[in-house]
Amino acid sequence: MSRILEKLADQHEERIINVLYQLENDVINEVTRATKGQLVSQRLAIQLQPRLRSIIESTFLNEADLLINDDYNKIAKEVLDTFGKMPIPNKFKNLTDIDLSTINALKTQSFSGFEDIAERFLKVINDEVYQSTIAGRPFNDMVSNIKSHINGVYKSSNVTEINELVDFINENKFDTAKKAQVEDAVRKLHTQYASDRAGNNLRRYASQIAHDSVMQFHGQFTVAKAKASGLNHFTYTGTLVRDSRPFCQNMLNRTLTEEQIRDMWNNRAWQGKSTGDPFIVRGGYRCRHTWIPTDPSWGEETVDEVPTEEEAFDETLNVVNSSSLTNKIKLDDIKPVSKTFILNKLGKQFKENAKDGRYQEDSNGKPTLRFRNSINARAKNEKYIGHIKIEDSINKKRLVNGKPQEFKWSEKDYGIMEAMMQELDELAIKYDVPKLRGINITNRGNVVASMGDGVLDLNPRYITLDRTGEQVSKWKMGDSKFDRPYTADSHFENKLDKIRSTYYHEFGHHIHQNKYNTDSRDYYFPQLEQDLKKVGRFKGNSATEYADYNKFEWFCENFTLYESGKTKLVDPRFIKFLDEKVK
Amino acid sequence: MSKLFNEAKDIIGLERDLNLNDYKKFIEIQKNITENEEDKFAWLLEALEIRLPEIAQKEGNYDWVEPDN
Repeated sequence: MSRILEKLADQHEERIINVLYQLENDVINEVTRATKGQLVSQRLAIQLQPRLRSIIESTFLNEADLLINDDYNKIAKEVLDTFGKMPIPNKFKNLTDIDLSTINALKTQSFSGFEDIAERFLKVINDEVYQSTIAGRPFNDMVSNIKSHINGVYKSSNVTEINELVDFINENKFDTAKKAQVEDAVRKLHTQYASDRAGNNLRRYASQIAHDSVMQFHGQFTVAKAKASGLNHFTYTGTLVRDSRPFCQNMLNRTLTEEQIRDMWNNRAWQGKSTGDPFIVRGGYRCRHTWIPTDPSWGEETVDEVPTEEEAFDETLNVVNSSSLTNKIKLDDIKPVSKTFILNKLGKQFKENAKDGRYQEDSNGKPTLRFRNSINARAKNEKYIGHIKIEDSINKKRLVNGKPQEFKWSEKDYGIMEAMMQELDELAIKYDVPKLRGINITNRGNVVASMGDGVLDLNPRYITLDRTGEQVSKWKMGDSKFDRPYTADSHFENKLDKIRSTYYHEFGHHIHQNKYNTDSRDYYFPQLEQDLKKVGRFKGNSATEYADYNKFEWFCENFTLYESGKTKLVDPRFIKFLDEKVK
Repeated sequence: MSKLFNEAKDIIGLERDLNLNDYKKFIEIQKNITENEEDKFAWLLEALEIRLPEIAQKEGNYDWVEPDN
């Protein structure tokens, strides 16, 4: 939500709250004047009804009318300003006669929302007065109930501390710096003085409708302009607050087609979802987010996947599998986590990591890319950088019981992934390179793993607990080089350490690809790779055969053993190179 | 290791930048690798993947990459 929109929504809520005190005061004055503070008769209760209606019209509805007619034009201007910045023909950027007619219709519709709620609470107040006559309710009790119907626990009171709490809340409700104190005051008001609380009240609904009307007017006018402009992709925008719905947290910054949005809306339910059109009511009551139209052809957004239903319930902020370089998690301590959990958790981290300034950008502000997977993804408008994708794998060539062999990730594998990413983040800090900004696991080919543009690719044919063997090499320095194991994983006893060795190996590639990169030229011709090319006589001195295949693999195999504490197996030349060129 | 495997290993071990011919040769070898060498060959593919930018810098794009490799 833009700042202007956010400010207007808060201002309108505040103005409606203030006018409700005037309403409360005027209603009580009128009832007191008519009854002279005595028990109300049935005849008087009926005579009071038109007068109470008049008070609601002159206070609450008058304020609603002022809000809509004064400020909704500002919202329309905000929408036009947004369209003005888009690369669309000028005719779609200006206010047309159709727009004016749409704006007026929307204003009328917004006002009818306030009228509905006014009518509803007028009936509640009338009933309160009338029922008091039948029940013989004391005048002061009736007054207290009317106040509660209007302002709930925030009603004016004879108790000084209640009034002070209410004043403090009202004055500081929109001050983020005092959020904690306001929450304390609200809690105290509800827990210590809630004995006279009378259920739902006008304040609750009125302040909500004041807020939601601003957002809904914006949503309706935006979608009307988008349709006129031929735009059918939308990005969910706004800011997150502490109590943002998981739906909103999950959808934030996602770009979807109108069809995807409507399909999701029709088939999903979440707490706080309200009825209506997805572009108008968005996340639900008091939602602070908006769908802003876009077009992937502008190159600013790519089309996202619709999140799974489980993703609507965020559970990701906890660390289930904690690990660090100094206290590496053990296999027995790995706890399974769901795919949704890992997608959400790492997805958020990668989005943040992608903002690291050490990742180069081109003159258009887009990430500089060097590797084929990221370049292909960009060509297909697929999310790749700052994103995580995990697929199982199928080997069509190998048949098991007549069907292609499948390689699936387990929830324990996702738990390992969670732990490993913490270790890799620490390695990034240790070696002063940016943290990884993606995992991309797709069902393509037989490559065991790869690394490029800060994105890790792993193949479930090899990097799962199910597919990892337990064979251990006894080879040590001084033994025949012809007896060396093929890769570093063979030097480890348990499956987790073997899997870890592949994560570390790939991170080694990330280091030589990114260390010392300060501009795009560095990115295409990394300094450390130039230094590696100058290393001589690297073959035959490492603890794996694969380390001999080329200098990049020599670096990564030795890096793996070095960072795994197998320093006796590390080629001394590597340690020298590390000391001189890397650390 | 088979002769074919060693040829592929030699390609990813070249000291100079790889070129399109190297890639094509490697892919042809891959097609003929036997099942018992597939797992080790998966690491050669990893090494190749890391070096693909050398070819892309000469070719100006990745259009030459064969699918599923």
